[in-house]
Amino acid sequence: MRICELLHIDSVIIWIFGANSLNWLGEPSLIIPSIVMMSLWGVGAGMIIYLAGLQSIPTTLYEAADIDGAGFWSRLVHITIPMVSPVIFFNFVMGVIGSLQVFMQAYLLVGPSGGVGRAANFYMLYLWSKAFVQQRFGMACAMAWILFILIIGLTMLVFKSSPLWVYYEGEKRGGAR
Amino acid sequence: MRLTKWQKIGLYFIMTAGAVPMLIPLFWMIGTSLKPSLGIDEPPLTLLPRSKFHTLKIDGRTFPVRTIEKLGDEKPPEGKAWIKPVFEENRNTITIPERWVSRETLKNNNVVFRLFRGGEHETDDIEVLVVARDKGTATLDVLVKKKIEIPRSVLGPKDMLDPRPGNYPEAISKMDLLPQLVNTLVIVCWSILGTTLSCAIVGYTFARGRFVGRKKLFLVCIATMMLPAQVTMIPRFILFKSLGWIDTYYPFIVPTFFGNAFFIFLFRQYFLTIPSDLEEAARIDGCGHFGTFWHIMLPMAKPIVLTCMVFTFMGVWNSFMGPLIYLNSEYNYTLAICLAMFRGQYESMQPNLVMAASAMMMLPVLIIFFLAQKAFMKGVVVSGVKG
Repeated sequence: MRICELLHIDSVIIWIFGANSLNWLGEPSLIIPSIVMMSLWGVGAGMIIYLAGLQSIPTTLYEAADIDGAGFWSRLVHITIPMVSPVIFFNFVMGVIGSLQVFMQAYLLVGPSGGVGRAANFYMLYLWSKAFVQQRFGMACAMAWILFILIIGLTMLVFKSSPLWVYYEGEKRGGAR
Repeated sequence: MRLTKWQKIGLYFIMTAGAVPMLIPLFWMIGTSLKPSLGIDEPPLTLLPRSKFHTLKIDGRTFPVRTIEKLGDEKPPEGKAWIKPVFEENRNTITIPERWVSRETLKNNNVVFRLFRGGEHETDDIEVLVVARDKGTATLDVLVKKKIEIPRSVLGPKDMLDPRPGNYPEAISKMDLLPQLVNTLVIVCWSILGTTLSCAIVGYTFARGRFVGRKKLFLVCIATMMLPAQVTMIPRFILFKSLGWIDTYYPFIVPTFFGNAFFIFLFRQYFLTIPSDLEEAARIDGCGHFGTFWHIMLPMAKPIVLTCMVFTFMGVWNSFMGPLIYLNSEYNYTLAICLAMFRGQYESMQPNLVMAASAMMMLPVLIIFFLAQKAFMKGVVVSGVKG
């Protein structure tokens, strides 16, 4: 394709997905992948948090690893990942909490009905339409509490698993003192 | 990290391949903000501001001629004047009478001619607007005295770049920005101060404090994020209404001084990675709890403090729902509300102006982000404690 054609969004989309471009929001099986792809534009926040976490790794550890002749992979597995595991844990918990509450993307893309075949009828979307479309506020509140209990249960599970895979430099001497 | 040349090339290739699709919406926004208001949503959708032009050869140089459907009594653009040229008998050449060219027009780089061309289409005259760009005064004088030739064959349509930077001043002039900017900045400053201070203190306490029920309290703190904002919206409104805070900035500022579970959790995670030997050293040197926090731990947490500040800035700068709910009077509105109203007013007719306004709205966020990134990258490299 020619360079000037590259500047036409239509032709880029056709070039990537073929002439019979998919109907992303009209096909029930494609709505959720579309929303997932759209959420990719939100990864920046997680990246900044990882960057901050990476700043806290003492350079002495890498120097020591260099002296011991560690390669890229062993440094990644034995230093970087354990040292940023608190940040991974943070992003993981936030991911659990955030994704169970997914609402805005679906609301913007397909509206409160949940799209074709109600394929994107997320919990929060359903709750919203119960409350503000059908005016059943009591039921919506009950649903919110069920969601709350669900999320808190999952979060506690993740917290319980944390001693297995999260390494806290600040607690290395005998844990809770 | 030492990489070979090919590894570096591969790294840049992968990162560029990831960055370009991510940046397409941004390019689209800036491109749209530079387009003329007509035909933005007509296929083919383009990233760059392009228009179909008929071209015109003047003195051997090609100039775009844009056909305008409805000229009517349209006033000429700022600093430009309409010039009415006369066609000669053969209808292929025109001469522009010098008396129709004003001095101001000559000083301007953009000279607008309005040509009326009869001929084949006797019933409806083709009105064309000739925009001659990049012509200095000297060249123009020559140009005006000469005959301008319009060979019929050249008048076929051609796709050319047509950026309109004038959309930006136009968008500014249509919004009353200054009071809203001041309002937004007031909320932003207080929120950054409140969020950073309170969350750092609470996060430090959850990371290092030893007290009964610490884990349970922390879970309660995290649990405040688990009720969706859509659910807590109405109770919050009732609360702030009973406090008499409607149409003030207190609903945005005061809660920030009471922490935010997201940043508390973030600070806690970060403080937990800092070796406790440093604190012990401070303790031995006679620092109290607060002294240790303020002089040792907070400087160590500079990357997270910066992250917290940038996130708070972005959140408050863009926040729409809160100001929409709590603010009633127009003089209290924030920029986000202002932009939304502007959008409502102009979206259907002049989406290019809406995009220009949005792009300007985004600029401070970008500046803050890049400043923070600079500080971030050269920030503290925690040297750690040997032993």
